[in-house]
Amino acid sequence: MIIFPFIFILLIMLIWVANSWGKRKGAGFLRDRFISIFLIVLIVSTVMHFFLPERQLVGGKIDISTIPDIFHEGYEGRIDQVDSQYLLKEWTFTPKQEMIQIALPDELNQSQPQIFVERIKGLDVMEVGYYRTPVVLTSGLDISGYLSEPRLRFEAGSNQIIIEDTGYTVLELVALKREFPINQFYLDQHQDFFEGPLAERGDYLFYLRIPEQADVEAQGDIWIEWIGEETESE
Amino acid sequence: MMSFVNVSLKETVWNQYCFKLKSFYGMFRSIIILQVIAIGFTSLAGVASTGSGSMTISFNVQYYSADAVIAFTMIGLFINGIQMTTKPFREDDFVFVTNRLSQNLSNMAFLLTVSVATGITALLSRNVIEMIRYFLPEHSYMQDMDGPNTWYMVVGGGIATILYIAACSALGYLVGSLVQLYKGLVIIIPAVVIGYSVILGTQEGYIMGKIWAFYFSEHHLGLFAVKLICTIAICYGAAILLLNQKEVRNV
Repeated sequence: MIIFPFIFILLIMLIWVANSWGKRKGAGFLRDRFISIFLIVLIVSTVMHFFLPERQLVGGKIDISTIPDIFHEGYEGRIDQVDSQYLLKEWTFTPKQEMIQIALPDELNQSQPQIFVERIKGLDVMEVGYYRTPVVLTSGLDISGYLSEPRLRFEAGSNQIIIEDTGYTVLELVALKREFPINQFYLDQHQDFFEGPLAERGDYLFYLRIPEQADVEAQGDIWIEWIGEETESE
Repeated sequence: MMSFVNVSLKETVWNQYCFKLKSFYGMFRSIIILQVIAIGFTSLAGVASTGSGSMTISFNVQYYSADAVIAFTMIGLFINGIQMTTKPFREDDFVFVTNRLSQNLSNMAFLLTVSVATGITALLSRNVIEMIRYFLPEHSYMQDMDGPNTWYMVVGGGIATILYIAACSALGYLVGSLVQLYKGLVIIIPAVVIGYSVILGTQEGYIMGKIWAFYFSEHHLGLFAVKLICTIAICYGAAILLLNQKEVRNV
């Protein structure tokens, strides 16, 4: 708001310059045809923009209230009851030792993966499930299609799971926005017409089922939540 | 010199209006120049950027739209509204048989015409911005975050844009009329506007907030149109009353 007077003064100067340009002799051809040229550019651009390829963000509309809270389900030990569409990927490894290491490369520390671990009686292998809920913009648009796939690798020698990619994605968008006099009447009422969209949900977790006698130790910025047990470790 | 030709008000206003369309062509051109400048700024830098994120995503959006073009047009028409009341512009009316009322009515008609024309060009400039971005070397092709505009959005938005611009020109005309009556306002009005803007920069402006909400928080197009048309009518009505206090050729 404080900059407004300066913009105002600048515009007064610009109008004064524009008017004096109009009166000056010799401004000639461009001055006389300035508006015509501008109108031609407007019309050509308007026609051409119909021929541009599809500009929609890829993704369907989704009702955010239908998305489950996977953390809550995980804490409660009810991850099996979460709809299978949210289980994006599964791995099965055979641990060589009882102590299983989980490592995260430094560059992935910002994504702070949460790992839920549950000991299962009679299980010989280690099952890892990756659960992720869709990322939904305020408008209800599901942009999960832009997220990358998680990648895990198991090193048998060190009995270590290495999280190579948590699925964390940085998206840079250049977007066309409706003008404020249009948004004022046609934007969803829950959106501020001067603000951009916010991302909601898009939670993820790794759910490990390990043999009863096995143990898990994390390296790096990883939070481990033990399901059905008192102990917690980081 | 006296004239014995009996000319109706309607005819006088029409003649003056046609004359102004031709002779004040430069005013229309100055607004178009402002629009071209706004298109240039917007195409290079965008109008806003925002960022958001969740556990799985961090996204930044650089926005492009004709918002700056519309804003520049509104300010430009406000300044032109003031200009219309100044001596050089009023002098031109005396090539016709005229009085204050016909002068004001033809000015109103002219400003409304410029508002409609520049409102349409301002909205269409969105397509120019889109084209410029499309053909820029880095090819930052734009996503349509809000979805495509339907015809009723374009019509409704066009009406709203024109009303905003017309209201700004009417307000400028009122301010110009006030200044013509009380020359001291040339100093006082900018001082109040700049002072109030500075205050708003540091704290919440109560009155400005109310005015802002009155216009910008109205989500019903019909009610919005009524508010804006009333505002325009009040501004022009007040300007006519103010300027009627002056002698016809007391410029």
